Amino acid sequence: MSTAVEVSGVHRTYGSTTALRGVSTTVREGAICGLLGRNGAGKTTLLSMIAGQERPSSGTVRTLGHDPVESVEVLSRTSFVRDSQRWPDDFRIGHVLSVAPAFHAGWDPALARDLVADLRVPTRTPIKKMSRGQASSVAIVLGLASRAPLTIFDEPYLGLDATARQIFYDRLLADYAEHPRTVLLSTHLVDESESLLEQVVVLDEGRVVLDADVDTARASAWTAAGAAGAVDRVVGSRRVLARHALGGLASVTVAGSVDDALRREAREAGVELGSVSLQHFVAALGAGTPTPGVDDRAASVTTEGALS
Amino acid sequence: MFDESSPIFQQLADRIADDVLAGTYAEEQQVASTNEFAAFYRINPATAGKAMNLLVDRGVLYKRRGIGMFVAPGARDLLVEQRRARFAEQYVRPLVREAAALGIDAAALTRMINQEDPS
Amino acid sequence: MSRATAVVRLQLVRRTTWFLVPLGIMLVAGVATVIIQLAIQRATGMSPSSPGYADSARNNPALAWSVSGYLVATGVASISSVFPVASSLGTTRRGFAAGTFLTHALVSAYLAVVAAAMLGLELLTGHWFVGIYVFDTAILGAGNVVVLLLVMFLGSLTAFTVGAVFGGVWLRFGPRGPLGVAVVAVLVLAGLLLALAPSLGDIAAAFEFWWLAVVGVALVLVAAGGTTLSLRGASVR
Repeated sequence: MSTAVEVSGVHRTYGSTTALRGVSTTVREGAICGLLGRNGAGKTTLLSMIAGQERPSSGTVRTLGHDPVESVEVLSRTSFVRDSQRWPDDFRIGHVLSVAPAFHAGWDPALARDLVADLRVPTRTPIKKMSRGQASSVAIVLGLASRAPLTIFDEPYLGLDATARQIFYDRLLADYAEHPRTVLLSTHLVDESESLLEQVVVLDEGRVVLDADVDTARASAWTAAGAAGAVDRVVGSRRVLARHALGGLASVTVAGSVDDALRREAREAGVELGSVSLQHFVAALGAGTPTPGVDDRAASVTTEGALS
Repeated sequence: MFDESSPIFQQLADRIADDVLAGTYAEEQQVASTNEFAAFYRINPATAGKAMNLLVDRGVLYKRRGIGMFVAPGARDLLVEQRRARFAEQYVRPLVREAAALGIDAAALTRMINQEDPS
Repeated sequence: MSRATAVVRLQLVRRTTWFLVPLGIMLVAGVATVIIQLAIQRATGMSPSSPGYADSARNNPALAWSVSGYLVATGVASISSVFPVASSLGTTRRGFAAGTFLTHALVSAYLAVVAAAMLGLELLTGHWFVGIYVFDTAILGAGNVVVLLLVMFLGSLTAFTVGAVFGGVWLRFGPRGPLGVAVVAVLVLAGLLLALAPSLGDIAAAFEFWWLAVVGVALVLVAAGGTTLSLRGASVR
């Protein structure tokens, strides 16, 4: 297994704000990795560093085997269109299509044309004046048609209607199957993008709180519902991510995995166990108020599936 | 199409196994490729690959290098046997438990079963 | 080096901005010159064949200056508005600076050649048949095509690169950047003026046209260096 991205102990501060704290992760070459988390969690900052557009305040980033900053080897093989990408005045999609081949060796003009048509990107409107969804479509065309060995999509779904999202989805998978590449995808829409992903990295307040393959991530939490007292007994001292109460009933989301002993105990107590969607789990991870110090250890779930 | 109850690759493997059991795929018939399954179900090809590998491990499919995945001879019988082993835990136990909760005794339960399937 | 040429392509894809608008401006300035000079001819009763007419008509820097504001503005935008796309497509900051500088040089050469061609036309038609001096002006070498080429090329390049350095510091420092550069420039100029004040008379007497060329080249180099340095620390957003 070769690594496309290796991030080690990366910190990034801007003046008095810390955007990233001790972020470490690895992405396998050829994997589709989802970068999830709330707004302001640090996703775009991390992606920007992986793309070599910014330097970490401390720590190391290795992209495609090199330090990406000012590296022609990395930059020529990377495509990164930001969610807040700025375009020159009067720049139209046609300009992008005619110039992109000079930057991306694998650029596929036919794919680009198809995508522009399918996504209904207006050809006469300057990109600066496009709606949020149209601008996202431009980013998708650029990212997909580039065939860049490392393709980064930063919130590609913003403003897209459901049909356009399906088109992106399908085209990405189809192209990826025929021309494998490493894809990093940051998104809020966990439910929809879940089945695309191989690896999931969740950031919260600049820290990695989950870094696992998608199956492990999906199995990293469960719910217990029933009479409040019984539920609390069954849950015991395990880490609670969310708790909802209604009258004497409670529904609790718990981090960790379910074993047979727990199943038996729950059954005997009349507590119903359920699985948690990845969307729900990520939202619960992001909902907690951080406790300085405590969170560093208690907050992470790693590939081993254990709480660390 | 896939819910959160278990890993996607497992659900896909079950679905393909269902098809084999139902006779949709004949033995020694080629099944769709990993990429085709991935595109059809809109999932990551690696996940589809995991599902296929799981079925290969279970003896339901086998791989012919350079050609593709095929339904293994005796796969149907194998699946029937595997599912029979799980049947009690997956279906009978919940049935008995629910009946007990509703106060339906064994005799009443048997009557209901016979009504369902006169054969 | 191939990344620099990719950047050139990126810059020049907006053909209207680089190739058409400057021509349009020169055309407008030319037409304005024609109208003004015709009006002067009629008002003063002077005709193109009168003595001294040519010299006073040549004292018209309008054309040379007409595009300068636009070129500076284009220079600013070539850095500040194009850098984000260039980064997204994948270029180093060095490559972007080099490619943009190359673009400036190419377009400056284009403008110089166009002006030279127009001069040729002007001379061939006997100053547009009615004795109007548009390209045959003192500042452009009074009909000397070599001087015209040099002045147009260097002048355009200076305008572009000065604009570029403003764009670069804006990217790096935000709105305070250009203000800072302007303040520094004014201070430097004031300092130079004060330092050279006693000898200003002698300098004026010994003044050679090519000194401006030296100043131009120096400005271009300083601006290009400043742009490259600013880009190093500029954030992409």
